Amino acid sequence: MKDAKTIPKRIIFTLLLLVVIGWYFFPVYWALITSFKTPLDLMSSRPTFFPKKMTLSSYEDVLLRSKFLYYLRSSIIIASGVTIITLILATGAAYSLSRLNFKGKRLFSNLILLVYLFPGILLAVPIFKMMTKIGLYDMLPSVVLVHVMITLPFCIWTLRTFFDQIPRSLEDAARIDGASKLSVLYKLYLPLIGPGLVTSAIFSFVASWNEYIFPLILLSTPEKKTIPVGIAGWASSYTIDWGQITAAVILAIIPVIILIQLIGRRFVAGLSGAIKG
Amino acid sequence: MKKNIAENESVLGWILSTPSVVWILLIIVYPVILTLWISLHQQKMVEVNPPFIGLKNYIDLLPSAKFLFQLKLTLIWTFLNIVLITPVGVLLGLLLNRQFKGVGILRTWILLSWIIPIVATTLIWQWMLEPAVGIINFLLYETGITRSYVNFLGDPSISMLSIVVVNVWRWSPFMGIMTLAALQNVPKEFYDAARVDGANAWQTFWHITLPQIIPTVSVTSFILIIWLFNMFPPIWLLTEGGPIESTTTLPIAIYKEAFRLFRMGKAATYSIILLIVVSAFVAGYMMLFVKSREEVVK
Amino acid sequence: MKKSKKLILLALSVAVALSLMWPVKVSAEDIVLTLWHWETPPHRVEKLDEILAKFREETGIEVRQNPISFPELNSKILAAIAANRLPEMIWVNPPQLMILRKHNSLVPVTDIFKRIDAEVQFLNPSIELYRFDQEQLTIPVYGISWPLEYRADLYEENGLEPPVYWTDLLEAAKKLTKDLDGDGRIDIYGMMMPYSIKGNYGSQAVWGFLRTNRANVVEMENGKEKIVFNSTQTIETYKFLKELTKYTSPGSENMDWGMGELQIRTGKVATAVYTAGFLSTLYRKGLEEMARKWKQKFIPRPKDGRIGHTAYTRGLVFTTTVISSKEREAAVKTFVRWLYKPENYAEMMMMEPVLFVPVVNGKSMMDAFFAKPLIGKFRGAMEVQIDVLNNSSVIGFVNGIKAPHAAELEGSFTLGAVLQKIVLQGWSVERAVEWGQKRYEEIIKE
Repeated sequence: MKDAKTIPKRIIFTLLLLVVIGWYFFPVYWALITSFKTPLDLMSSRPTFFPKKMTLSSYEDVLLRSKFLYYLRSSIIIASGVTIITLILATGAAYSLSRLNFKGKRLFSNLILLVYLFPGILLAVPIFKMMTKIGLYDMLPSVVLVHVMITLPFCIWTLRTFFDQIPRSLEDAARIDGASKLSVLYKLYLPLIGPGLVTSAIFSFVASWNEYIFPLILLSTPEKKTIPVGIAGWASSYTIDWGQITAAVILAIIPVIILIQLIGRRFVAGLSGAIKG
Repeated sequence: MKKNIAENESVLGWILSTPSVVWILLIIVYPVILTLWISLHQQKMVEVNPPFIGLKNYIDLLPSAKFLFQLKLTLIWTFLNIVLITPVGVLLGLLLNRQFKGVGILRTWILLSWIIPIVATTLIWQWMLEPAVGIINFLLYETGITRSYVNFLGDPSISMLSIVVVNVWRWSPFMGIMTLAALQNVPKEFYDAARVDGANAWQTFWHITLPQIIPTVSVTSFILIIWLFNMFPPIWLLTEGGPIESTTTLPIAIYKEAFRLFRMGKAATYSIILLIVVSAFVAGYMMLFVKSREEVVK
Repeated sequence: MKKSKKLILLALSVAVALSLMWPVKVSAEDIVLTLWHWETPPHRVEKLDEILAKFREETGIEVRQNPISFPELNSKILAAIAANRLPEMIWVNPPQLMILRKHNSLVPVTDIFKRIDAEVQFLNPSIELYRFDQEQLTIPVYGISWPLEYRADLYEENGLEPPVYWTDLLEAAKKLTKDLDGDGRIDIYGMMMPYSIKGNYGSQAVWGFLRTNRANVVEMENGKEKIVFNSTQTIETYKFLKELTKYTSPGSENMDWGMGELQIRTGKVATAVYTAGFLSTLYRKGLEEMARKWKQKFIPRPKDGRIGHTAYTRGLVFTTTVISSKEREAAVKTFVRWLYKPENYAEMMMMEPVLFVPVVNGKSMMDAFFAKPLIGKFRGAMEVQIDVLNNSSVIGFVNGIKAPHAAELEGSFTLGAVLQKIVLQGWSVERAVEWGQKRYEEIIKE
């Protein structure tokens, strides 16, 4: 009896899955095969789904004849720095907003949203001026400073939601056992908000990885540019080398995927049994 | 009893919160004040002593048909996006929460559309959507679905929608992951208890799953809406606000005023108005939703 | 689980530490000059690196390049002006020149210009473009021309002569728009005529045609700008262009450089107003045969019209950073003099062969240039583009004037917007041109 009910359900489910995979991954697949296409294929007026001939020449161009590896280094350094700093600051702030009572709490949590109320491009020029004045002209840390400003509000708000969902009774129990407010934070809460930390980390890293306006304005040395700035440069002249750009895109995905794999294991682990009544 | 710093709630709260707020304010305050100042002047480029004109920029801009049209487009853009991203994202999250072969891999790779730098995303989509040489029109034609070209980005009546679709493609996995994180937070015991009590799938979803994910989803939507108001790259890179201004939202208008026409005063005015509009939304949200949440938490 | 977490934490901490300690290498004594430009494709950057390395070898002076993507160029220059961090040299187009000039960030180069001119003989249009009040503000570097590109093989097949007049072009566009495989859909379009405001292309394609009919945007009257866009010549031109857009490929509404070139490369169009740079790209990718099919000529004009085109001359400016010290000034001058030696200049043109048009005339310069193999191969295209440069203009710089709002007028992309209103919104030509006139007038008010 169970089978008769579940077969149509399974078909729908599988169909849904296929639609999802198709829609989200087709453009990526398109970029992938483009990166392997020969110049002749790239010029043809009929798009091909499976290139007859494949070549690594685009990847060669990107890795050996462009500054891509420099861009990769800059992006990794900046995104990593942003992620660590954001996690540290956001966790503390989210905890205090969720569990502690202090004057100005409401104001704090609203004020930090100020960052998102402005289009980035308009902020770029004054921020560049400021950074130059404090001696951070053309230095990677200036981008880290700005990116943290961008990632913090979201992470604080999100982590606070996760904190909120943990019953206060747990904390009370720990407090009775003699734990201080601070140790409660890292001994009790931190393990419980695992998924929240993971998403904050992923968000911070990817948001920084992808952002191109500030590295563009704040950095001048070509070797310090980040990947989006580099790719934007290649895409803005009369001739677009599609093979090269798609190859760079595919390469740029790899570090991020690795990071997500490393910390994403949390998702699969889940939360089973962590909360005791 | 000793009351050290780790105990004093108020002080601890300040210590933990202040670095974040200070960090943000230090960097953002100067640009905000500067923008406000510039909006009160007739400033071109970065000249040093622009003439002071008080509120003239605002008086000129606010009632103009052009501005109202751009404001309307911005609201439409924001609305269409969030109304699509949220349900698609939540459904995606629910899908990813199930156990099936390959779900672990899918959970990681689904973020691909968000990971790819926006510059590359729009380039790829622009190419795919291009009527004459793009793959989508090619497929539509070959499978007989259309008889002629569909001008996704070049037809003013569907250009906005096309960009929205690309943006939904890009952001829904993010919403999906947030939903997934919230779902993973639901203690298994809740589901076990429900099953024991004889609840069916729909009841389980409505009474257990949904309340657990609503806080996260609503916070994410809330902040996403704020981002959408100010979102610049997807629209700019796909159409630069065209054709015929059919996709010129306020951020696009701001960019053109600032860096094509060099009218910094007007650009700053636009920004401040946009700031007020978004703040109004934030205030409205606070009043409607935050109060009730605080009550729930207590 | 815990171990891998610790490992990640460690790795990330190292990354943070590294980012905070990123070394600043420049020592106090070495002079390092910086050159900004927007030739960002990697092979162009590579070629310039070679040239700069050679310079360093011969003179010991280091010049670093910073390629900036074109759409962001203005904001980056403005940011640099605001923070007082301009590089010594920038390759500019007239709009960027006007930005720098407005902020008094430039140093006239008249003396060194005269000296170099004596040897290389700059082309007149490039000189005029950058002369302000008897001072030269830039040293012309290279040009970008927008001739008419056409598929010589298709024209011949269809018994058509390369178009000289507007009527020829219309006829050719009509005849060459064909359904090649009989499936009911047109496969090739006679003329790629964009009506787009995405990027410069839409307006650049229109400007050349306006000039062939003696239409103009702005003139100077008693020292003030006067918008002369709304005229019979302009209206006639747009009427012609409206006809022409009947034979243009889909995608013209949103066309930018990249998409336009893609349509050329994939054989979707038989004619276009475009730079010949794609020839060397085709050649470099092993598609010489395809490149050979394309020929270049002047863009068609009305029967009683003149020869006019869109073309830009890049100029090298000295910013005020140059005069911050005597050594710096001397080093920059050494560099520039070195750059204009025939062999070095020719090598610089090879950053993007066939796209970069030399703006010099001297025999030794041209000999060195045409001796380059790729240039020799596409000599015809090169010569046409040089001619085009000699018969071109930029908005706001027509007939020797220097409109103060030239940068804004060009940056508004009004020319493309007007055509868009006519074709997409169905406005009458007169009404659209009137709208364009008002738009321009509003721009010069501030």
